[in-house]
Amino acid sequence: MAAIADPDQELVARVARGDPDAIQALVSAKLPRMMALAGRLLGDPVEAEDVAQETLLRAWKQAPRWTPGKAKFDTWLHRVALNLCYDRLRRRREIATDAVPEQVDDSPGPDRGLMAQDVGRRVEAALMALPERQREAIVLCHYQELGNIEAAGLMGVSVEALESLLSRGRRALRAALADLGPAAEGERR
Amino acid sequence: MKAERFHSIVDAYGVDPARWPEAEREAALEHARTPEGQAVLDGARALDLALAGHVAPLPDAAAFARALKAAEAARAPVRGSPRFRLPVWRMDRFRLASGAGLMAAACAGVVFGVTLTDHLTADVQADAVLYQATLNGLDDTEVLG
Repeated sequence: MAAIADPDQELVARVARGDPDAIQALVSAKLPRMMALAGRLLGDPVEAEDVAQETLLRAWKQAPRWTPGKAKFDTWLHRVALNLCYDRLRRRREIATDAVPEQVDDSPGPDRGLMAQDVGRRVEAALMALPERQREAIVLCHYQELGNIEAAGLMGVSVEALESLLSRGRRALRAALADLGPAAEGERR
Repeated sequence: MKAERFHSIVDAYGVDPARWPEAEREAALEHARTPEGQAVLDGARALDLALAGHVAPLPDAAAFARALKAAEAARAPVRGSPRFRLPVWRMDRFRLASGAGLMAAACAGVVFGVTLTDHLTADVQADAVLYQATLNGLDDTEVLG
């Protein structure tokens, strides 16, 4: 099997040697990235930071033993962060009661223009309303910009199954966000 | 590339070619230049635009500091073997919570002390009133005969 080219390889090697500049560079690059991943999957910034910090903590421990060429360091970080997110989502399901919380319609009135923050909130609500696997596929491919093979591997599904999750997810998002503008209607074929 | 496959790619990955499957990107880009391909892209652009409006939570300066502190602690040699150790980034929150807890306990102590003193004072006052009443009052037998 050909060795995988890893853009983080040198940085990880320097981290393993205890280079403080490398540690700072890795934190600057990966903390926001892991927090974005966890934030979009969990919908909670506090939990997202916990996941991101825990992921990096494991990275510090793993760095000295990291074998280059087997997998990308960034993919490994995603694997760790995803597992931490799965744990938290599972715990949420376990403590969820039968009572269905009242759904708050935070969509703006027809006479009110949408500010950027409103759009962000609407998109977040629509993302959180997606089934977990569809949300995960969209977060990995669209927001984290992972390749389809990488994302499918992380999710443990085939590329075809990933595409199906993505298509269904985007369809649901289009329906949920259709009122954002006349152009949103256009994607329906 | 067949038009149907191009539709499926845009349907799943959106309009940015950087997100399209690497193996099919060149062929898809070629199809994208056709009027039919353009129409598909035009139709899909709105959702990509909306999704771009979502800003993920970003770490603040304190979060960066916690991560660097945790990296330092992870590399430091462990002295002894503590049975329980909070992750470094949670220590700040723990200290904050402990401080708040101590403050709450102190306040509760003051309230309890004041209440207890009130009760004791009331009991002593009641005893004194009863005692004085017995000194000045008449015996039941004197009244009732």
